[in-house]
Amino acid sequence: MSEAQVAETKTETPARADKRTAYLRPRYEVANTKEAYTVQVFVPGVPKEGVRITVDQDTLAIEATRRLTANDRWRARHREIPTADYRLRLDLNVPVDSHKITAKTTDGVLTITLPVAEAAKPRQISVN
Amino acid sequence: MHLIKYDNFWNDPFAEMDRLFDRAVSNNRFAGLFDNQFTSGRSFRVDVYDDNNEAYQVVAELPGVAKEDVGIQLENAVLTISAKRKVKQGEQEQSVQFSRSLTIDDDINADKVTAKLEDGILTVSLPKAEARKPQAITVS
Repeated sequence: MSEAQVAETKTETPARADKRTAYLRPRYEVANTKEAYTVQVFVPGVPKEGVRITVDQDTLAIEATRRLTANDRWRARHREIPTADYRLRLDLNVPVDSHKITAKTTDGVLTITLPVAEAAKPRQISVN
Repeated sequence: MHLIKYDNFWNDPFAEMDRLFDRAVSNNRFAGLFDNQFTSGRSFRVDVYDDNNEAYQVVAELPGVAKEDVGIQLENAVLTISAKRKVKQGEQEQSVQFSRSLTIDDDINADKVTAKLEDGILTVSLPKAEARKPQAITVS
């Protein structure tokens, strides 16, 4: 590899010291009815503004950032709670109506309702 | 009176080893695999901080727990946090109970203990008693 090429690859990867690379996979529960799927994701410490949900065809991606409770004056005596962001990716095997997806956060639990697309709902066919 | 053997984080000689082990396995690529061991069991994760020598701050992860379902008890030097999470499954409603006891120092001003619950994170502030705070002594 020539020197020019080396220099080029270096500039392509900017230093992102503040970006955390470790992610936590949160615990989640899925419940379904004929009308909709409900996904409950346990994300303690995440405020409403810290949640990003994206639906790309059949993938539901959830990223959530905690608001840290500790400040500089607090010296840790004992630590268990990780500070990493949450990331969860779920494959949807049923077409959902992506325009009608709703989400809310209460007490650190993110509830996402995914309505099943009309075309995928079970239909009764009457015999003439 | 509670007898707590393993939660005494100042006296437990294995606490540091556990912490190092946890840090080694849970921080990067195995994070996802090990997250469930705390959140799905009967326990919950807890942080303890010393707030500028003025108070202890106990932070606990309690997602899905309503304010009225949290119980905090302080007996001598032992802080017990108990919580109840209600789980709705269709018509049925179940509740899961969690409890954890921590040994804090006995220099707490018990009358001034406050707690708040925000986004599933419970923060208990335990101010240190006035007489026990570190004092600067001037030489006369």
